[in-house]
Amino acid sequence: MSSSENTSLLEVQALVKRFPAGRGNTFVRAVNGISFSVGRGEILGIVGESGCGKSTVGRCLLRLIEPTAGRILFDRIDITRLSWRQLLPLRARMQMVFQDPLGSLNPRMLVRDIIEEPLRLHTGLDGLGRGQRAAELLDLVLLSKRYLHRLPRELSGGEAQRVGIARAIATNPDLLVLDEPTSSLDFSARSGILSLLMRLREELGLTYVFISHDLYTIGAYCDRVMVMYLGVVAEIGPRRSVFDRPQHPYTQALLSARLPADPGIRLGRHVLRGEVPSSIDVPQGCVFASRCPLVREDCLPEQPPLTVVGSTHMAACVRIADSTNMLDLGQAPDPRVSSPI
Amino acid sequence: MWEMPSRTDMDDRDQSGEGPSNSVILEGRNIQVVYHSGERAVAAVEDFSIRIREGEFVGLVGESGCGKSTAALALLGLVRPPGKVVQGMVLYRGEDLLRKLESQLRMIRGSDIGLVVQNPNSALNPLLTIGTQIANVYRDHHPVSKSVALKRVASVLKGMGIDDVRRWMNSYPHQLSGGMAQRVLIAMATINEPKLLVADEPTTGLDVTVQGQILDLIQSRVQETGSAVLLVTHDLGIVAHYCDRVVVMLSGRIIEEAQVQVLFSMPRHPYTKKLVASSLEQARATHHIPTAGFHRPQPP
Repeated sequence: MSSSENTSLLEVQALVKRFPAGRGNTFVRAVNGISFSVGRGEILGIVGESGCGKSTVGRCLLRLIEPTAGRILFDRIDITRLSWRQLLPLRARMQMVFQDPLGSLNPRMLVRDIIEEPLRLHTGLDGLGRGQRAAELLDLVLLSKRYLHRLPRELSGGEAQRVGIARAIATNPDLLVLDEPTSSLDFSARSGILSLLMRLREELGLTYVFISHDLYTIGAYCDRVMVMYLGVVAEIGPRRSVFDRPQHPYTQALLSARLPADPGIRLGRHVLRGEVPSSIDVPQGCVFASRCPLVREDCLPEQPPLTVVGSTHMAACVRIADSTNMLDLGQAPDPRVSSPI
Repeated sequence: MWEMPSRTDMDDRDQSGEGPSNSVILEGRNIQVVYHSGERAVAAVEDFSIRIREGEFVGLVGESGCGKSTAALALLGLVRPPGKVVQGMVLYRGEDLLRKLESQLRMIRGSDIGLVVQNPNSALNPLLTIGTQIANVYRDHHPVSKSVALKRVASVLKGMGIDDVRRWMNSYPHQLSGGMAQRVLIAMATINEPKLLVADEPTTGLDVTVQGQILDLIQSRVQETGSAVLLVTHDLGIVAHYCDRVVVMLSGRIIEEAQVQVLFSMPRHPYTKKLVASSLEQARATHHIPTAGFHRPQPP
């Protein structure tokens, strides 16, 4: 792919989100200046633990939460500068699937009305047209037409999530942001939903931003992975690369902390001490310094920038520059990965 | 009649409880728990029988709604209305716990049997400091002064690898993160060195890097105190690496029971087969055998 061809559907530049923490000048720094892009048709996984900011990023992408600073380019349109009215037609092209399927459905609406709602808002379809489309959508998510007349409380978690997905694809969007879409589901419902999502991506040509704390799901389905820690990007790159050759000590610890369901696999865990610091008091320097087993002097006073370790693989660690082996810097960085902050 | 559990040396964990003194410490027989909802009665747990031996680490596994938490609570005499144990017995030291008075059960819980619940908020009093709460559990079973109890609490917390013990003991529950709160629950449940520790989904909701800390902590605490463990979980990964034996539940019933190695290599029930097959597939496909220890970042 030539570097002048821009196939990004989404480009995020220096995104910042702060929430007031209630006491004078203190803030929760949920997202602290991150940049990344998502190519058309790809699945970008965003993974991290509590306080990393991944859910906040997901919501900012759709402007469900207003960014504090930074730009978000959707199909090269800067959506952060748009008025509400200008944003509305774009909303049809970017939708969300939520973590709590039952919580994201209005308990007083029939499934039919839940699915038709985006059609009402974004299309000129009449009642008959909407009804037909709703039936089509139920079909796509493998639910029978009987479900049209049910209420959310009559649905299982898996069924409710299928309804949520039907609603999300109703307007034929380009992009779906999926925020922990299977975390609340039982094991048996989980694989059904994931295979549905993968099939829909193929059939409908969708692009996904897949937010999850579950490394196995991310590892199984995503093309590229972005690891977040305390509001910054620790590492980003092709899934294979990040999982097989993690460069950031946090990614290494995270991957090694997994407990695979196979007693035959020997664990080589590095169990980190302590916990993620509060997002209110984000420490100076590298955000991971307080728990990093490889910390040294030049980890402070600044958060290290993302450093290239492979053609589309980057990690924010000062130690990367040390390595005596030559890094592949000859090749121009892939345009899908934005330049370091 | 006891059987010697067969353990394979799959890693270098120090297993307690080997040898002929592996007696059964708790036995549940044919327990049935029913929930009343209006006119209807639903059997949440049916024909549940289990034997837990000294020093064993038993996993009670199943998806949500299978009855595993209810079964574990039944073993401790903690089923409350609208639930009711309608059949069965729980034998501890030759006596049926289900026939005992609540006051007698309270003496057993907290000293002989410890419980770690999933949600710390249900176990912690928001108005008392952590130090006081753990000390109270100690004083319920040992006639000592508060200051002696607090010293004991401090030494237990220190033994659990906690650095700033004083700050912790003076904190209130709302100041604790999820992982810290779980450590407090583990301290409370094990301070009286129980024979059996029951842990109900102790790491659900915790970050993956904290899960390992908590599970390792449970493991080391029970090795110190010689307790057996009944761990209720839906996570087969935890079972694979911490449990000796597994009991699988589905729709209120036990459908399979086996040593861990056997369950993963030769599952018998169709449900277990499916569960194990997909878990194994997922584990093997995506688990990268990490290089030992930590290493400098390297280029590809």
